[in-house]
Amino acid sequence: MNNNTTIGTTTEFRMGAKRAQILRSILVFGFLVFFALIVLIPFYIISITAFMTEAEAASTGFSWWPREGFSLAAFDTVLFRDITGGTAGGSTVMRGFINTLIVVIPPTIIGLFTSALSGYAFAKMRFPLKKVFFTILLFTMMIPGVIMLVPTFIIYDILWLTDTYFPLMVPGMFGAAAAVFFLRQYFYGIPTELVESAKIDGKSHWGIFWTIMVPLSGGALAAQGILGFVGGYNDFMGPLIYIHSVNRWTLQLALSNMTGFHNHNWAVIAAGTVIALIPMLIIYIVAQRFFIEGIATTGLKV
Amino acid sequence: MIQTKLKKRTKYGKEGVAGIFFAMTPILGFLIFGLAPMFLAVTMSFMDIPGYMLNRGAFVGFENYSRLFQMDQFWRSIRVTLVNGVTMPISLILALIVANFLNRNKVGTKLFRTVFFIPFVCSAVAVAMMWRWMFNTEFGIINNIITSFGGTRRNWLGNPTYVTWAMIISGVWGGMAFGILLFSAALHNVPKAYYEAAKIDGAGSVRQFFSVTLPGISPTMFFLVTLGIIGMLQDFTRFYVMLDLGAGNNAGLTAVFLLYRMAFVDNFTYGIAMASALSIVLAIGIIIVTRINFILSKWWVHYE
Repeated sequence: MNNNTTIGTTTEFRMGAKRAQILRSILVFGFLVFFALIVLIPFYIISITAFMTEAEAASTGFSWWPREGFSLAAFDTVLFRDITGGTAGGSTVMRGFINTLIVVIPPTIIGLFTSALSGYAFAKMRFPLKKVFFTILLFTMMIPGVIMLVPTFIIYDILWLTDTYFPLMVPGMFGAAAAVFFLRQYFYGIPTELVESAKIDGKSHWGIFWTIMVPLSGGALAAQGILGFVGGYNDFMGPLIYIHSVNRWTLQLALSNMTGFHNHNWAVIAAGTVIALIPMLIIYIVAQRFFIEGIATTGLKV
Repeated sequence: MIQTKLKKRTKYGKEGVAGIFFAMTPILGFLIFGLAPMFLAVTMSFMDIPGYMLNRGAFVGFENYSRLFQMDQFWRSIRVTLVNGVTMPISLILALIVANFLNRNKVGTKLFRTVFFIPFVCSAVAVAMMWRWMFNTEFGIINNIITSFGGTRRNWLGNPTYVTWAMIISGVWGGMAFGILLFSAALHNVPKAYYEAAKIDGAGSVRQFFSVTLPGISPTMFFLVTLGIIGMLQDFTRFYVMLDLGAGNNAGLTAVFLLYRMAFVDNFTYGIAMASALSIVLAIGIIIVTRINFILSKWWVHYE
């Protein structure tokens, strides 16, 4: 009898503990849903605004839904109209998108290559001044970017290179310190025996880099390449300072200027924002693994 | 014989030449596009330069600096930068809380993580546009919620009293993503055995957090604080896009915003020389604060 009650209370206790645990899980889950809504609501609002008619977007009062039905007028304006009068009748925003690709893709690819080559040298090769070089590289990461703003502009101005893509493209082609560190770390982890045996086979360091290291590092290279591309695509200050002609605007520059040209047409501005966001969201969803790999490892191991 | 001699003289041989050649490009890039402009910035800050004509500049000593330190707008911009800078600690604390919940969650964690990280891949301009719309006085959701509870519409992006609130709220929204990702990874890496040991010693969950969790994630925290300080002191894009000309009373004119205006907008009044002086002051400020953070880290950051 006595024995029985003890068993009873323990089961009850266990059930209580279990219930508390379930309750806690639900609370945790509920909090995360709430926070996910906070993250997503701005995207939702900008999207429905983009589908509103110009009149509805400019009518007093906020609505969670396009009351006058879904209109594609704003997207039509963004995708096909020369809203600034500066892009020779073609769409200002699409011109900006193409300009962005022209500005961003070459430095991303070339910069990835130069960073990887440098990272390989620091990881697997012996050469004089290695430590000095490495320290210089570390140093570059510590200089606040703000200090370079005015003098680089002046240099390009003297060289007649403002309002060209040169200042936006060429520096990136020399590689980025952060990418060098990340890739060096990655190459460092590849067994040196592989390098040694390739050397015995008569392979040069270039051959080792290109035919052994690069194929083995697809994920790491993709991670750095994607981060570089996203950074370039989203860059604002560079284009703001250097590019003045409307037909050379990058996408972000075109977007930021829409409030000036379409001050009261928020449907169009919203459509422009959505169009600008879509490529990044696609890349993010497709290549999420690389993002997280690239960032988590860059952040934690440098 | 000759070969060994040669090898001795050039200790590294062919590999040394190839190594320097391979490693050099990013260094070269830094020397051309980093170090040279840096010296130029220092030089220009001691000059008087008409327009962008460097060749017609003249050295004036510390005049730009003394003018800068006597300018009300300079001190105001520093204050604006620091006040809006609270975005950084708030983002980090909230990110840690969210990451904690994320790591305790059992269902759909991957999906949550994907959603929480989205703001990170969005451009500062696009994020600023979204918030500009939501803070819109007449049509924005925020004023709409306020009025539906009986409040009055506020001019969030124009009225100096509210600008800071708008910038902090939107900044926290955009700034948390990176922290959540890194904290979540860091929390995952704190050895479970430490928690077991703490439990056996009778530590409650609060004590566990301060004695096990916090030391365990301190390197990540340090990394985020360091990056956060550097970013916070150079905040510009979202202010530029969300606020028209720094909003009423220049309540949103951060230090870099002021620098931008000095060099590229009101060049006639201020000029690139003063902008250079401001950039040097800012850079020194950033270096000092980062340095202090680094020194303090010896007390609170624990590497295994």
